[in-house]
Amino acid sequence: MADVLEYKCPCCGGAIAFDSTAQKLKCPYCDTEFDIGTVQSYNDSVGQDQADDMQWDMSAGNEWQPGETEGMRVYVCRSCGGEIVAEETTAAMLCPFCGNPVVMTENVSGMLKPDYVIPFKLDKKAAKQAFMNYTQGKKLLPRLFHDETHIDKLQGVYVPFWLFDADVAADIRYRGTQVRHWSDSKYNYTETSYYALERSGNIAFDRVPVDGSRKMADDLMESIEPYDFSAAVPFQTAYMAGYVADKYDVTAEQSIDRANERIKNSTERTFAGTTSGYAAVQTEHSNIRLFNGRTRYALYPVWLLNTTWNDGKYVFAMNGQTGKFVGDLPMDKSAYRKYFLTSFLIVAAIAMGVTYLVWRFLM
Amino acid sequence: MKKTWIRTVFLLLLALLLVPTAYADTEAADASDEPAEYYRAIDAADLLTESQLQSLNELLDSISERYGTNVCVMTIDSLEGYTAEEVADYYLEELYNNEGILLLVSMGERKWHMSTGGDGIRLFTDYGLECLEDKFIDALSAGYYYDAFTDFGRGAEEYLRFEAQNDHAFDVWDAPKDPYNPILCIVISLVVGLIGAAIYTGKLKSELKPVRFQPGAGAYVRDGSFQLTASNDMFLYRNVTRTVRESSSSGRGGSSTHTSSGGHSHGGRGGSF
Repeated sequence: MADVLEYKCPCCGGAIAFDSTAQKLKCPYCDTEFDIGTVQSYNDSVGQDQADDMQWDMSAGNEWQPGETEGMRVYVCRSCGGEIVAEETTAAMLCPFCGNPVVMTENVSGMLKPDYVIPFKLDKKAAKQAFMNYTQGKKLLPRLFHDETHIDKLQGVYVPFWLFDADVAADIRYRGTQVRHWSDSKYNYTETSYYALERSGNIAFDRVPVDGSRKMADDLMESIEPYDFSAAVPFQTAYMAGYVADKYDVTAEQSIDRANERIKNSTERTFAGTTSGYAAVQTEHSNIRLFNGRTRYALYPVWLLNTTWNDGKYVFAMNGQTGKFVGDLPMDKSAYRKYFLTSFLIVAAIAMGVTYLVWRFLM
Repeated sequence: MKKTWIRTVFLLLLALLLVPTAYADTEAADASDEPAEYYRAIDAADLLTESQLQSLNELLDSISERYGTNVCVMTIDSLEGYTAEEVADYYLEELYNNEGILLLVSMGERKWHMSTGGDGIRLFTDYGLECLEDKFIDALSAGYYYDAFTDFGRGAEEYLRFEAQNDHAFDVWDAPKDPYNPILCIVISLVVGLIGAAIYTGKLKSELKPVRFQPGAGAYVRDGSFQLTASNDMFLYRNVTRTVRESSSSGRGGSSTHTSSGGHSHGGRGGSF
């Protein structure tokens, strides 16, 4: 007697019932035909799909040694609420986020000691120079921005980052498509073939950083990545001299989602790199499992530059180690219109010449 | 089975209509290796008067003999379930040694088909057939059969003459040039200009807004840590879609062919009227 089994259609996901004596089967919903072996293997594979298992050992940060935080104080900005940590002797500080004065409030407490710090390698002068260079050669930047912009505040800030390390094991299934075209005397044919591409393997990530400060825009911080961790040293308060540290207000637990997202994306991309010969490859299902997942707490050096121009505030950040400088700039609308019109006229004139020549000599 | 049926029709036609032509053995001798034995205009559907049929025959004969091929017209009442292409190919093979061009018109289905065979495939390219169709299709649709058939004959003659003068058959690249259309060129240029300006200024704009999230953590992959332990590409299914080809004028010229049930190569073009 034939066994009647129910399978999931690889094309539309509908239920296909068939008896094992049949040779081919057709999905009743989408009419696609399959080999029985294909549907069985595909369903075996889908049946093993599991949810991601992304567990982290949350042991980031250390307790301070007695007396270690003695010279350190927490300062609060009454204007924007920013909290920073600096040496007690620091006088007349301005908030690195909004440029208003900050007031000393309390001793350092209720926060962890960073595991590592990457010391500043580039100084204030280099940051100013980087800003000057950054505003050069940008055609749509208002001409006066460069001359008139006022640097309200240029401050070296140690930004708290949670670093995520993990060995990753992944089983990923992609849907690959191949497209073939041919013609006969009456029709043009397009054949699209679909494949299930299964990839399993391992990969490891070291120190994926997630910004632990709400005051620092996450996209701005990710834009000045990466840092070279080989220059990192175990944290000592001595590195704070002359700089301030932003006090973390996003916990490591709250940063996990972003770390997982980045790790998952990169794993899927890296594994997708092993597929070839397909016109398109899309992730259908991925199962990511973490091993030895652990977190650490580090301070990374950032030069933070606040400027005002035409009543608008602009924030720039420079990687204090590599010098990578980013920040969104205002656009000069009239320059935009001018460039649009000029390039439009040039391209249109060239296109007109080309269409004439094509008609004249090739048609 | 199909053959048997066509043969029956063929024999009927022979009995009713086909009389060996007077000059078949002489003047038509150079038309092909074997002389054509049948009238080049056969009006089984009775669309023409006696005198029209005679003058059409004279026209087709003079063209055929001058260019050493067969230019023929045949009308029938019905295709009896076969395609116009099958019937036209069959008669071209059986009556005219599969040499030249035959315009078959079936009144029952209001279908027409031009079949080319032998050197006719080369002489009448896909594009040539397309242009030839334009010459007679309006008259055919309107019921002016004699005009349609003489237009077909004169049109065929035009392309045969072209071949004799130019040493190659009339094809896409011999089409008369479209007059320069400044409006179209300006419109195309303006659209290209807009796209070009949008791309260029888009690039300038993006220089001002570089702040964005990183898509992944590619910079933090431990060197040499990536290992693939299993890899399997499994074919699932395929879809084939087809679209009707555009007319051959947009193609690359030449003649496309198919093989008839008689095993001969044919070019051709057909439709309804």
